[in-house]
Amino acid sequence: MMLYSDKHKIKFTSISENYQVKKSFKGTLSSMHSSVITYVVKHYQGTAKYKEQVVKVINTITYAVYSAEPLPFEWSPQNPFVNMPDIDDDDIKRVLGNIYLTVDAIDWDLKVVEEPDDSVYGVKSTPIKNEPKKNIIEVAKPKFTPVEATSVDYSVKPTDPLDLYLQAPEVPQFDYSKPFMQGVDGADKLVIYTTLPEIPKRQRDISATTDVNKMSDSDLLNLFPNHFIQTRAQAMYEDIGLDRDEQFGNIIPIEGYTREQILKCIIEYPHLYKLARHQSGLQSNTNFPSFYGWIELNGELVPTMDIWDSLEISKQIPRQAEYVKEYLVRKYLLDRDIGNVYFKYPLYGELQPFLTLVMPAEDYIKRGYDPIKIAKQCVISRVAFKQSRNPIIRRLTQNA
Amino acid sequence: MHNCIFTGFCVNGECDKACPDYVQSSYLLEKNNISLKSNVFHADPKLLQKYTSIVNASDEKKLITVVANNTNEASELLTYCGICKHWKHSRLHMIVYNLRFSQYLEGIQKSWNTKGMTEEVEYIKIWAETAKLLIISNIDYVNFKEFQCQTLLSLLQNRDANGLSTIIVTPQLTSLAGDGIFFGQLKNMMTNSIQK
Repeated sequence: MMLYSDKHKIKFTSISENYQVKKSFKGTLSSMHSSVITYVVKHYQGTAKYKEQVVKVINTITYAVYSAEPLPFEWSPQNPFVNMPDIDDDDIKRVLGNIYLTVDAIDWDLKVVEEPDDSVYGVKSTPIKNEPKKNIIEVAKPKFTPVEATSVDYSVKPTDPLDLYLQAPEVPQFDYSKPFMQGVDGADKLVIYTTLPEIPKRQRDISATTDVNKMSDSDLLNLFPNHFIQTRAQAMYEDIGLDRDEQFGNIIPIEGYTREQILKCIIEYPHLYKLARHQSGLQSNTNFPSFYGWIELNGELVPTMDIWDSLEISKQIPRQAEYVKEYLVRKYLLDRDIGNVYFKYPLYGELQPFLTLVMPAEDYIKRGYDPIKIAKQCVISRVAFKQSRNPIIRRLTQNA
Repeated sequence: MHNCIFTGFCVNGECDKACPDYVQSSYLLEKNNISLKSNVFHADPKLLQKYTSIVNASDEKKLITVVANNTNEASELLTYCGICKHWKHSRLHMIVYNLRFSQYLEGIQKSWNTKGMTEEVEYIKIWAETAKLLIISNIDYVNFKEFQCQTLLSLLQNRDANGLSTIIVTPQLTSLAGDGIFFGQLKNMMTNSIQK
């Protein structure tokens, strides 16, 4: 039986407090729902379509947390309708069970806002006084529309955050006549075709088959986005009183390492995506434990939540999944790259620096990096990331 | 797998015939007769971008007409873009379907001489009525009399009533053959929904 229905409604503004979610997710969900509520209160339109949209967003957030499926990094609870993934309702219903919300199950205790601020639906560029040729991008989104007719014609579109994804492009392209690798394993014929374009136009085009040696300096420079794109977990950009970098957000202290070392680690590894641990001696290739769920202590894997509260760091940062993940991975990377620590259960697959370039080449130069070198490193890192995790390469090389 | 479109990008735990990404995407490709040798896998980037944006626009605009010189190429590429957009969570439902209208009409007309529709035509009918995104092609050489117009118009009407998206791929509308009041309505409908 559904917990919320037209006969037993939940007040919209009390969802963050009273929505009966699993206790272990209450903290995370409460803060995310609360951001959505704040947004909706400011822009509420009262139409059936708007309500459906809001309910979909709330259910999707709950689904993402319940199923540990990360929301896209360009999605933000401060602008919840933009970049929200379209997850099948049946899947959401299956995961949420009796707490699945419908429009009728909510008491919409809100007032309709007469003139919604349309800037929240898209990108708005505001000319800076005395600097008519520059625009400030307030919200990053693919479409760029200058507001005033007098402002300069901005023909360059801001880079779409989707261009930085590690997932396959929206419409995969490849050359069927050019197999990159092929073989037979058991009853299966396995082939990796050379992906197209062979010279990637954006970071997302880089695949296991990309050859960095075919790329010129100018090809490499095309990979940089033309504005800063936030790729860390959204919570890392919220000011909660921790030490911060203006662009990269919160810097979690890690014992044994300086602020500069930690910040350098964040700049070089700004995007932590689907990380798992390698279990030595494990025969199966499919069962890699989540990196964050476990901590390696004296050569043994211990469930993170069993010991988290006993760690000193737990008193310094919020008890939220994003912070726990961030701390564990940063510490691991610093221990690996600087501390030269040996791990019995290392990260599964390659994770090299500059896997994702998140800001224009000029911004990297300002921080002391050579853009050609790091763009080349980006291609190398992405190819290594994909080749080391590609199940076809694994099947073919293991049985070679 | 040798017929998976994601192999160069894949970082899944295992590559086998049970992989959900492989099963769902290859099912839709196979049912829409798109083999790995097809040109859609090395399409002109500009055309690809154009058709991707048309498919994206079909979320909001429930009827879109695309005028193309090469209607076969256009419908196949639109179908592929649609599959790429919708394959996830499709769970072996015919969520994107390319209806070759002249073949469909032929199937219906053949069934008049038999006891009923063949299983193949039954399936085409079901998919045409229920696909989340339907691409209608092969109308180039249809002579649109009352029956042909009514079949297409009622399909469009039912789909619209169910909130489903449809893209019609056509040559220049002036080259379509037909007559009667329904043909006028059909052409009007297509003219009003042309995507530039």
